Amino acid sequence: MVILEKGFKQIIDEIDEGIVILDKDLNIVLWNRYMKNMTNIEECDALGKKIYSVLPKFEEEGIMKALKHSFNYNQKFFLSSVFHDKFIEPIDDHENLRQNMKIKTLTIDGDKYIIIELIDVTAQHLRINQLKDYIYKLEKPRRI
Amino acid sequence: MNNSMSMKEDILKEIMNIYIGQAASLLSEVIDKKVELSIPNVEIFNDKDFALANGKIPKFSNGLLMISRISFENELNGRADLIFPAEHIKKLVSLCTGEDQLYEGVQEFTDIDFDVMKELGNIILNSVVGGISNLLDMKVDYTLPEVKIFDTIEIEKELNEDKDAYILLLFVTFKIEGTKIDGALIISFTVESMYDLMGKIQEIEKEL
Repeated sequence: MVILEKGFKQIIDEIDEGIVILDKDLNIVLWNRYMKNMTNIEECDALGKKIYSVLPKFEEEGIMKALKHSFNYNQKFFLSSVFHDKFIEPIDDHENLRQNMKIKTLTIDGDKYIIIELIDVTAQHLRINQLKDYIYKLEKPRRI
Repeated sequence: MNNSMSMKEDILKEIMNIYIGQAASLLSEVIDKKVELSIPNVEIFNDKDFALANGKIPKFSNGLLMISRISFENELNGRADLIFPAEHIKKLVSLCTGEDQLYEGVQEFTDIDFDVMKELGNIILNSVVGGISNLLDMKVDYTLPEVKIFDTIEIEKELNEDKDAYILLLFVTFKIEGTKIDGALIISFTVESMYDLMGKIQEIEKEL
C-alpha cells in the first residue's frame, strides 16, 4: 500500500490517457505526463491554474455545465468525439486528434475532486473512414 | 383503471415531462445542438409479466435497436435503458460527422455509433434518474452507460429478465438538429424504490 502511495504519480504518468484532476474551484491539482506530451504544457505550469485558462475549450458552456453537474450531483459524464471537437489544442503532429472525454468525481478526506479522462480515438476515426472509403469504392461500380 | 391510479399516472407523466425537458436542455447545452424532446406516453408495469413479448416494446421499429444502459444504486436502486432504432442513430452520426449519402449503404455499426449512443444515454438517463432521486430526496450513484445492439426478439428476452422489477416505460420522441428519433426509456426499479416513488406521488396527489 505504501508503495502504491509513493508510486501514485508514477502510475498515473504511465497511463496512455490524459488524466487531469480538478479541485472544487476547477483548479488543476494533477496533470499527467500524457497531458504534457499532448500539449507541451509542463505539469508545473498547469498545477494551481483554472482548467479553462490552460485548456480554453473548457470555457465552453456545455463542458462547463458537464463539470459543474458532475461535481454537484455526482454524475459521470461521457462526451464523445462526434459531438465535440478536440478538447485540447494539441501540438503540431497531433493536429487530427479526436478524443472522447469522461468526467467523474472522487471524494478524498471529505474533499471532492473532478477527474477528467481524455481518451485518444484518432486511430478509430481513421480506421472507420478508411473502411467506409473502401466500401464506397467497392460499391461504386454498382451505383453507376 | 380506477380514477386514483389514473391520477397517479397523470402526476407521474407530468413529473417525467419536467425531467425529460431538463434532459433535453442539458443535452442541448452539452452537445451544442438544438434538441427537442417529448414524451407521448408513460406507463407503469407492476406485475411480474412485463409483457414485452406481447409487442409492447418496441412498437416503433422492426429493425435493430441500440440500447444505452445505466445502473443506479445507493438509496435509490435500479436500472435505466434508453432504446433507439439503430438506423436513427446512424442517421444522426452521419449528420454530426458531416457525411452525406456517400456511406448510406454501410450497415455495420462502428465505435463512433456506440459513442454517440453512449453520450445520449449518459445525459438523458442521468437527468431523468437524477430528477427522480431529487424528488425522493435520495442519494444515487450511477454507472457510465454500456451500449448494446439487439434485434426485437433479443431485446424482449433481455428486458424480461428483470422479473422482480417494477417498470416505468416512457415513449419519447427526439429531434436533434431536425433528425427525428423515436425511442423508449425504460426504468426498472426495485420493489422498494418503486414503493418510495409511488408513496411520493400519493403525497403530491393529496396536496392537489
